[in-house]
Amino acid sequence: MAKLVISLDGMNVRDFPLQAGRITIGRNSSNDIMINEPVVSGEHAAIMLQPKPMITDLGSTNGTRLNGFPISKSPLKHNDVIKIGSHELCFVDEDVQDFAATMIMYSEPSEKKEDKACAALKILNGPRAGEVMRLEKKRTALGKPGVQVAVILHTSAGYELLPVSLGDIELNTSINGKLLKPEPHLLHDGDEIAIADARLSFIEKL
Amino acid sequence: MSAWKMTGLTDAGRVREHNEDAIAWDTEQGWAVLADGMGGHNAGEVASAIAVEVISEQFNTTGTAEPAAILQAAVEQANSAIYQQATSQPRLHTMGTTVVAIRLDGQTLHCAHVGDSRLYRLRGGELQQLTRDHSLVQELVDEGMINAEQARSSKQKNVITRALGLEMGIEVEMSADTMCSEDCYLLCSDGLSDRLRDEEIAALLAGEALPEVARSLIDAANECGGEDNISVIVFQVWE
Repeated sequence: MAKLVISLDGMNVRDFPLQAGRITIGRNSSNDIMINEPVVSGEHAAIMLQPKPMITDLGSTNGTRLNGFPISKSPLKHNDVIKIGSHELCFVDEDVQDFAATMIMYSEPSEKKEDKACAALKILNGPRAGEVMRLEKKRTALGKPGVQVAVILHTSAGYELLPVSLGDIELNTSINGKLLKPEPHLLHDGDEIAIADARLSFIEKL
Repeated sequence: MSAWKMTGLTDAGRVREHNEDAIAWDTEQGWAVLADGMGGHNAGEVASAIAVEVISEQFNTTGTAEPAAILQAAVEQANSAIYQQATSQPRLHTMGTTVVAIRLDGQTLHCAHVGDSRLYRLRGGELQQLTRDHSLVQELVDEGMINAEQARSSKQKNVITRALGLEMGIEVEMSADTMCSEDCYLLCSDGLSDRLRDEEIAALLAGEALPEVARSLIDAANECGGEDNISVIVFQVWE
């Protein structure tokens, strides 16, 4: 999943999730991303994700800058900053994971105290079948110690399941039957998680 | 009264173009700080540089406060400075940095840390890690979900749960150690501790004198891949 984080004068204005196909940016309201500034051309630039992420300037009057340099057409990579008029659009490729680099786990706890509802996991099989575990912590570890382990992260995005890679052990954690990679996966109400030999169902609001 | 000598070295490693680590130390005043920055573009370099600069500045300002209080306040101040920069410039919006900082006071070593940069002590041939990483795998080890070897081999060993610059406030972990003659201490970034095992670090620390030992540690980590930036600050104590 890729997105543009759009900001103006250093303030984040909004996030724009990028779908397949051509995304246009410009002053006209017909654009996918409309930037209403006089220095921005009616049809200013376009982004394509396939076959690989590219940004193209559509012959704009005042140009498009990528990481400070004027471009007409250029590949996009994670964390590139596009500048159109006074707006900055940061390209975020959420699939990019650099395992050798130190990464910060963003896990802002939901500080909204009035929101007492909390997500939970219901155990579907084994001797504890039917039991419900509340997900009250920022991070909850689950699985079979030393065999298959995952963590449920409570982040600003919601609840995410992060399978943990343990050396050579093959990951065998899935959501709704789909095997997962060691990266965060957003959970939806009713999702069925299988980890080691346990099956659990995710309940968004208890 | 203790005496000590200190040295430090930082290296981009063999894979990365940029060095996002930053270090500073002052042998005379007895303090050292090491930061491992992260974030797109050169944001990681900006974050670690601010951390080292702000903390060094606080150490150089003589005050009457307790050394531990000065240390903690300096790290908190570095956090605010990075956070302010990060929120004011979109290019830097996801920057952060780890930090490990020490300040010596008589026989006492005060340490502050956030993230997975570490402090080790070699005493009588035995290497002891004095800081506990704020990382995903360390949490899982603490909860008994994985063992230390699995933590080492996990692809997610570099996922940290705490860093400077992400929020207005920061929880700094403080600790203290009583120094003995002939102790040797090491501050390092994960570029070293990911590549070298405790036995290797212990052998290098015991086998060489300052300042050559810093070069030897970095060379050894590079020989094991050098995938990340590598930084060390080493100091030896004697009566």
